[in-house]
Amino acid sequence: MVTEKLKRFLRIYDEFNYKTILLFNREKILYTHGIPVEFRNFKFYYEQYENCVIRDFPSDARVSFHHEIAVLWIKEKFDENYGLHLKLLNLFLENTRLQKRENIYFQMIQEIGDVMEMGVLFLDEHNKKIYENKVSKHIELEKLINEKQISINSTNTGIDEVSKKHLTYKIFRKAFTSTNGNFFYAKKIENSQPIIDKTEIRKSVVENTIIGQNSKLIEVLDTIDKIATIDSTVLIRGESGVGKEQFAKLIHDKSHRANQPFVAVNCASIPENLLESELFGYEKGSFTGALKSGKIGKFEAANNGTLFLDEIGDMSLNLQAKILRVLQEKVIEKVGGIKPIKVDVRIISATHQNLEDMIKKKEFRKDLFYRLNVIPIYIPPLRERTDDIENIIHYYIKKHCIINNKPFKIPSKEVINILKRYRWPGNIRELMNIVEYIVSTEEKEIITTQTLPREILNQTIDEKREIYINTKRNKYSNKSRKPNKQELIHLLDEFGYSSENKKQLAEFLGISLATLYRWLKKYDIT
Amino acid sequence: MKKIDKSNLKALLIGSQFLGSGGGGKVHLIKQIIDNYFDNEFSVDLIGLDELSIDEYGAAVGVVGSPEVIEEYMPTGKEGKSLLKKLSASTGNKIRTLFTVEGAGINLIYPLVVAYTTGLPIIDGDTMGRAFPEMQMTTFQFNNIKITPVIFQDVENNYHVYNNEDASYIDLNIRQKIAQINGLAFFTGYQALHKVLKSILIPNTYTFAINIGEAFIKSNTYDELLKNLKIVTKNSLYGTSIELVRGQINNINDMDNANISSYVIGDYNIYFHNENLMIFKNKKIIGSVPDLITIIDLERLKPINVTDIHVGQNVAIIGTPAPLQLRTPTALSVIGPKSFGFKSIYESLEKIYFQYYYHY
Repeated sequence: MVTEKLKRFLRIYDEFNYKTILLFNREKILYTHGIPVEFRNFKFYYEQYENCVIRDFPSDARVSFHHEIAVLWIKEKFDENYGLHLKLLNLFLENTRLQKRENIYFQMIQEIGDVMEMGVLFLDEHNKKIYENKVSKHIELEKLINEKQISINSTNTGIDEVSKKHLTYKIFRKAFTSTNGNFFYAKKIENSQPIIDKTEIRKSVVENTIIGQNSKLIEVLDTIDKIATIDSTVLIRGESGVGKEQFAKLIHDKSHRANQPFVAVNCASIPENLLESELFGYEKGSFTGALKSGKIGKFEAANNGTLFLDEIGDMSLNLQAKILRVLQEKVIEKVGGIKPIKVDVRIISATHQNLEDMIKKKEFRKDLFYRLNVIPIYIPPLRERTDDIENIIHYYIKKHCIINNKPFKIPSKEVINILKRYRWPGNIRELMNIVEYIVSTEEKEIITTQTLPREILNQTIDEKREIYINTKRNKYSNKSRKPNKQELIHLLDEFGYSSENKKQLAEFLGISLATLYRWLKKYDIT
Repeated sequence: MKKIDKSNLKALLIGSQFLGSGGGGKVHLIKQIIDNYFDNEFSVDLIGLDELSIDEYGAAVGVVGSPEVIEEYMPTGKEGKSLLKKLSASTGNKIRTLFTVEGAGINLIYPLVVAYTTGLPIIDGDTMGRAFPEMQMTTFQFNNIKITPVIFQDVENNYHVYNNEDASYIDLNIRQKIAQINGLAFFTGYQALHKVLKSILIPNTYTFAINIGEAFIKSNTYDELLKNLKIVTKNSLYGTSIELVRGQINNINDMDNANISSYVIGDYNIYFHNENLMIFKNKKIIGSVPDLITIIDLERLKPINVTDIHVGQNVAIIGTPAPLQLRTPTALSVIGPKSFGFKSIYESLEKIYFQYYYHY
């Protein structure tokens, strides 16, 4: 008899869109839903249900045993769930004695095997065929196993690849201790996913080093996605330390030039008289101290790839004219050379300077500016991306702990709050340096404000003071207006709980430290 | 304040399975409860750690034991409600918010049922950052904060109360007690002031899981999926996901040693207990707990549990770096490879693949 509880399950399974449900007891099938026709022919035997342990079914299928009633329920359409077939076969094999072919599980094996798209074959302990499906017959799986001398007794499981008539099969084998028999299934190799050895993941990926989901940054990344594949020049603007070279490399990596060289030159770091030969190269014997063999320049080195000219604003007017010529004519001339050399280079330049002002002051060529600035990209400073700061800090803490072979440590919430408020004049570069400093000096697992460099703490204190002074209408500046408990806790969270922090808070509130302590006591804040 | 409702539940479900690292139970069962028994108005407030008031209390609700049998004891949230009432009565503190202990799998979804039933908001954070099998494997333990009182309700409606016991003792003891009755129990505990929760919970759990789920939903091909996953994981406290291997499962070995089983893809061996724990290539570690090791079924393009794998299946194994909270020496002493019986020490994905993460 179907119990109330089982009825409830069935309703649930039905509602959950299980496509196949079968409920049976020792006498008959009690309920079916979406059962393939061949399943309806089952004769069920009850005696072994209780021995089944079914824990490792796919999430989409399950057999439940409730006292005298068994339920088989399957989420997917039965003939599509290949993994389920195998699990059912394994399950039934473990519970059957193959010699007794009337056993329910053996019948189930046949039913399932018949609908499978791969070859299924069972041999008993004497390697005598007990069952094979149509596919196995078709591909002559038994013959394949004998011919290829696939070992069937050495281990519990095995896997072999055999070829026949231009087709390769992967043959899986499982031995069953309960039966001493062997179960084979063969799958055409074309269906299998080759092992992808990810040696390429050892390759550097610049995209992984640009952390952030601030809307201003996303805009930049979207623009890069759009313009990477065209060959126009790009001018990257932004404050010092925002990582302009990283973005230039990203554009290169996403372009069709990705497999060609990416060459970066910092125009500010090379003395002016050397920059020309650095960029264009020189012929042998061009000047005193020159290499005898001559030298190729960065333009040639970057041929077919990308040349990144950082700090372009620091380039002399004389050299600006030469760069303009390359852009117009796509040829270079080496220092001391007379033969023009054709180059195919995409130029990405960058500067933190105000080129428009420099043009007005005649320090930068207007025509070159227009040539370089076909696609302008502006990288926002870090202080405009406060929502990204915590993730970036964690990213660099991990890096420096690894480099310095130190145990991983975690910044306190207070540290994160202070670093989020800091102005970051040196941007990402400064953040990297500060994290490196913190990781090297903090010995404990938790990074506290005590480890933060003084300039950061000082700026925070200054800022707080400034806020206080500038906001005369600040609600706390009126001495009659005391912060309530919740406000005081918020302020403490902002300033911190150390005695130094409390001193700063008292100063901020325009009260004495003693008064602050009195309030804390009154509100029972520890 | 964000909300979790039927519009983002599917994504949450997929994300919870991804974060389960091959474990975490059959999440679809709880979703089915929500789909079938709660109307379209189903909606739970999700409250960020920064939005929490300081001096109120939150408590965890969850499921322990064998989540496989949960469909036989369909939770309605009422069990959670009565457990919370008992907890409140025992501590004298009013509980204003709920959170999950386990940031993955069934325990990410079940608290929503309780939240909906009680009307309490769910905190966007958790204590494990992924799925772990035992009750002490939490940030409470790393920070030496007691989880008691903890109250369990087993499937025969018996209550088991722990007032001052150690978390690992509770884990062992409750499992013994419920082993004979289908091994499943609902619980509440881990009650703490919001001020404490702000500093110890791993933030953004639900948002992160939903973002991961959305990456799966919007991807039509595996390459698209990998690209979208990398963007989501990179911009989190975790770290960029990395494909460790793609291939066909050649073999599954049950119980290699004690509770550890493994499966094989070419030269790669992946060891698991309830979750994937270690991956070796030619006997060298290429990923280890607490970093997340997730299996993706390439035919269905879905994250799957270790219980769903079979020989011949085409899968990709994805590694995702764990957040720093799970990596400190104290944390590793509770959830590192040694806690699961391995003799190796934790090797972070960023260390193994340093160039992939940090060089350009």
